Amino acid sequence: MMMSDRNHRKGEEGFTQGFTLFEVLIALAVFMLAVTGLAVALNTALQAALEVRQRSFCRAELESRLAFCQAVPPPVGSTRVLDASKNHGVKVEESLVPWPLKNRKGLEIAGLKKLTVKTTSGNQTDQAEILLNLP
Amino acid sequence: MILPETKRSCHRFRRSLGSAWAFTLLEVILSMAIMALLAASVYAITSSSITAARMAMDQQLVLRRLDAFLRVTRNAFLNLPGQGSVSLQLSKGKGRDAEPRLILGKVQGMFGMPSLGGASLMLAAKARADGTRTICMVRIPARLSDRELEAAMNAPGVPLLPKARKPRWSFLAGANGDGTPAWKEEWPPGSPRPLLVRLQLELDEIPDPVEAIFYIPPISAPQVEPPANDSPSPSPSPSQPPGS
Repeated sequence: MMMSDRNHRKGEEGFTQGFTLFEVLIALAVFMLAVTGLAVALNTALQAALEVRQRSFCRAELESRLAFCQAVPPPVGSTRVLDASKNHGVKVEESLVPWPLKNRKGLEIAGLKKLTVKTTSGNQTDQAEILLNLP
Repeated sequence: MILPETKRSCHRFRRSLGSAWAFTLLEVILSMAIMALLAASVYAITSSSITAARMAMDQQLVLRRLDAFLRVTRNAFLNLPGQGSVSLQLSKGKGRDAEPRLILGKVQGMFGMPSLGGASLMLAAKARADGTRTICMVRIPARLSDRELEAAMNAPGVPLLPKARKPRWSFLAGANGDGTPAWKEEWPPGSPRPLLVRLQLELDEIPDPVEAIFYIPPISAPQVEPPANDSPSPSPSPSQPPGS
């Protein structure tokens, strides 16, 4: 209704006025804001999907390396590192340290070690720690 | 040359009609061009967003399928019973590539099956018409004739992971002399339980190859506490001196 009134408003000479340049610029700015918002939302959704994918790969690699380290543990006291370029884009750091723990009788349990595995893919990091009995 | 009289009459005619100034052809073309540009930009953004969203959804679906498959397979290997066995067969079908078949023998309570009645479970990479493979779970009943066994192994089974390419199983029994793991591509029936099982494959929607390692706990004798040499005696009460 407003547009119709605006379009049919007569000027001094009896002619209809068009939109001014200012109005057109404002309309274009509003339109561009909407389009920019759409593009930002799309980009955010894609980033979230990529992040979920990286997190899934991180977790899958972490579980695989935990399984591997139970059969082939890293040397005690040092860190075994797998470079991302040689390991499907996931960097892995594995370390094994002695873990002093006493039983109910106060005696130290021999051979107990803590295995720490840390995986990094992009900006996603995952870490797990388990105790291994390696006499 | 327009005569002044004619111009005035035109003006009068327009005023008599009470109509507004119309847009010129140039204005209409310009506005249509601007509208076309805006519509094209909106279409491009919307189209790319729909395509990207569809790709993201497909990838999410594949990742969820892969995650679920790896979880149930990992649990199956972790809960492999003491008498269970692991072996690999490569069957050569008619005009097809070899079909890797991982056979879990004498198992129970795996993949949601509480009792198999002495049967075996097989994870077979069945070929599909589109060139991909579907990793299926097939139940192989016990005590079958050769013909029945062949028919059971060629059964479609329960699909677990579709659209896989180049699936490859390998097994770890020990380490090389320099300490590096020695993976073996063959694991015939009758072999001891491997320490680790590795599955390598490619999935259509995921650019990187997938590698999963499964741990099989070794079988060891049950640890029992050594029996005490002397018979247990009741501990003296704190209020009572030991000599009394």
